[in-house]
Amino acid sequence: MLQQQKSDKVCHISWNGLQCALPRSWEVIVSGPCHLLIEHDFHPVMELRWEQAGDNINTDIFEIIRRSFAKTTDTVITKVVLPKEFSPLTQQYTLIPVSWEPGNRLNGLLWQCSLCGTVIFCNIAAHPNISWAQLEPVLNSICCHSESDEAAFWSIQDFQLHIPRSFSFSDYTFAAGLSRLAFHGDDLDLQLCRLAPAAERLSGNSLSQLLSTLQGDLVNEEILTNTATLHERKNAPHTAHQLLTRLRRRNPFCWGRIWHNEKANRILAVTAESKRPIDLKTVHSISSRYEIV
Amino acid sequence: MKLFKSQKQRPSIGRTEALACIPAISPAVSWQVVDTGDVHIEYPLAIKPLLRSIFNRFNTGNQEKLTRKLQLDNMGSIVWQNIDGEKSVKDLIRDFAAVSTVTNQEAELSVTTFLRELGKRGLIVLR
Repeated sequence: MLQQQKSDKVCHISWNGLQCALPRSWEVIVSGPCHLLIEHDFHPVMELRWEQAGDNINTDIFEIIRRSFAKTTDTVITKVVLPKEFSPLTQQYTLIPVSWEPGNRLNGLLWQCSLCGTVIFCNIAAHPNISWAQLEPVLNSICCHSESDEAAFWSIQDFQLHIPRSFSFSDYTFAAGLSRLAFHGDDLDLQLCRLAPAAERLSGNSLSQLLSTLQGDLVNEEILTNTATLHERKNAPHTAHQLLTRLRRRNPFCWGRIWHNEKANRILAVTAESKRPIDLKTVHSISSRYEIV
Repeated sequence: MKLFKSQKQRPSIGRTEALACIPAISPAVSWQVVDTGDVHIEYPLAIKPLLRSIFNRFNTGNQEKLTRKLQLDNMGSIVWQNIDGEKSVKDLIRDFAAVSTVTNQEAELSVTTFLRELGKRGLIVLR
């Protein structure tokens, strides 16, 4: 499994099962749960889409894509010859180079992982300063399966986390100054937030106030830790409140932790909600592996 | 109802063209930096001609221009002071990302939303 490494030239990203290494100056924009847009200097370099196919390893993926294109657009997609810049990739993947432009110019690469069956489609954009030869190492670094069964590795923007495999990805937000990932599993709704820049956020609010903004106020709040850089709380709802919250189709048990990474000027927060009392060991373990890189 | 629907199709520009636009502060706007470092802007209030004629009819004595005041926060002030009529939106995003230590993507979201708000109020023009 790829791990995020500090390097001047390359950064590793990992999003919803797909991992790759990119030049640090390139920007990754999340467009969907299985859709990444990669840019350099505000110009698109390439677009990655993937789908974990499960058992359909031997199906003709080109035919599926061709039919899908024909249904949704008037575009006719054809197979073309693989340019020599991408020939090193053929050692690792069975590539299908495709085109939908006149002149059979290469527009995309399509392949299916022989190990996990994930179908990956790379739409190559015409960037004024980036050649196909520069794309080849990036495509070569793509990995769609993990050797670790314990936890899924996520790394995007400047943060990374490990989430137990029993949790499934449910939602995300990338707003200005707020990044949020949501997961569900083990009867637990989990949200991981990153706020930036911390100095601005903390100029008018304390950590506990920011946590209340993210999670809402808790009834029967119990503060577990409260220092200058960390605030942790949970609630202990009485039976009547539990019943009332369940009738409102909400989770009665809540837990939250927020901490300030002064060096990186970031605030990280993890919140959890559940129908049952929250196992602090699980949430503490997730929080300890959620960090700025 | 079709009768009340706007028939005009606004010309749309792509992201690359939008980022290459150069914002400039409208000449009708006056602004100053206050002690806290924030920017205070005063700009003429845009009133529809019909409302203006009604206002003029009942307000013959007072001929002074109607203005509105706006105070920008710290982040907004940084972007506003960078608008010099030469830097493109892309440059403003880069500068903002460097100053506020956020990613380009976050800076783009912040700066473009802010510029859109300024444009709606007539405080800036895009070239």
